[in-house]
Amino acid sequence: MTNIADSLRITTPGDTGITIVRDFLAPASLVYECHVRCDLLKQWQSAPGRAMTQCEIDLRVGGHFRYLWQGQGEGGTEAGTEGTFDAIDPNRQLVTTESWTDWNPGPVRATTTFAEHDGRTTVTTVIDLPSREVRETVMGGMTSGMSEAYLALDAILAARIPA
Amino acid sequence: MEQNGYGAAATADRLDATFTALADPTRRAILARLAQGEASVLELAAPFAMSQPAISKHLKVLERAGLVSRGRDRTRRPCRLEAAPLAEATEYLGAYRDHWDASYRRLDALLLQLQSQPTTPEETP
Repeated sequence: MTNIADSLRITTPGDTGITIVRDFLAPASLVYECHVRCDLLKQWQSAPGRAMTQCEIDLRVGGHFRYLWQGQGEGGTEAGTEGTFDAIDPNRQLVTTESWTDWNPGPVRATTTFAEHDGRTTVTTVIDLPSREVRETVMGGMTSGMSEAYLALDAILAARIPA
Repeated sequence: MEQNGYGAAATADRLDATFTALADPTRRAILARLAQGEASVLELAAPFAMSQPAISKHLKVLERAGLVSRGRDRTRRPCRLEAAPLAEATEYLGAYRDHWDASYRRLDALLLQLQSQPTTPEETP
């Protein structure tokens, strides 16, 4: 049986887009809940050494949300995201416009779609960034078409094991 | 969003060369073939509808990027995959992917936990 985590696909459509696709072994309603309820968001959005310390969600069209992450240890850095819900289709789709508090290159539009099929839910997040340069920074220098190269890299490196 | 700390110009140049080399599907196919073992230019050209000089041109780009080395055997000069720059590129491109991968693995665990409970409590955020 293949690992569900292997379904993660990240591509870079157009000049400013990033698309992230991933399957989950749960119904769409539950996956959706995990994206709009602070008590649940805090659990999976907190990484070791970087906890989501604040979460505010006003889940209605035009409503605001605000997330804050805090790095641990002395001088632990803060990072935040805040924005507005532009469209809400419960259990199906969320459209948001957000900005980042630690580095704000302009508004970021994100559309997250939850599609249930055969007991699984495919979550597709389409992010539209303000410019090509911002995308390159976000992706760490990754340029258009590089996502294909990345997938090829996976295959090449996998073929080499054990090397 | 965290900006990553990669700054060294030499690393950036090397990554540029790697990414340029990887941007072409023929060159990626050549690398995939070499991942299975070394091969001569003739052997590499065989599966492609391409002349040997065309393949040699692609190999030069891969060699310049340090992704392929050529053996000493004068007549055959077998091509070999050099994995180090690939690993470096994967690591570089991987940071953003890793972020999503790690978050979503935590979501997997949470979904499993929520589904193993008899009912999902309706809590207000």
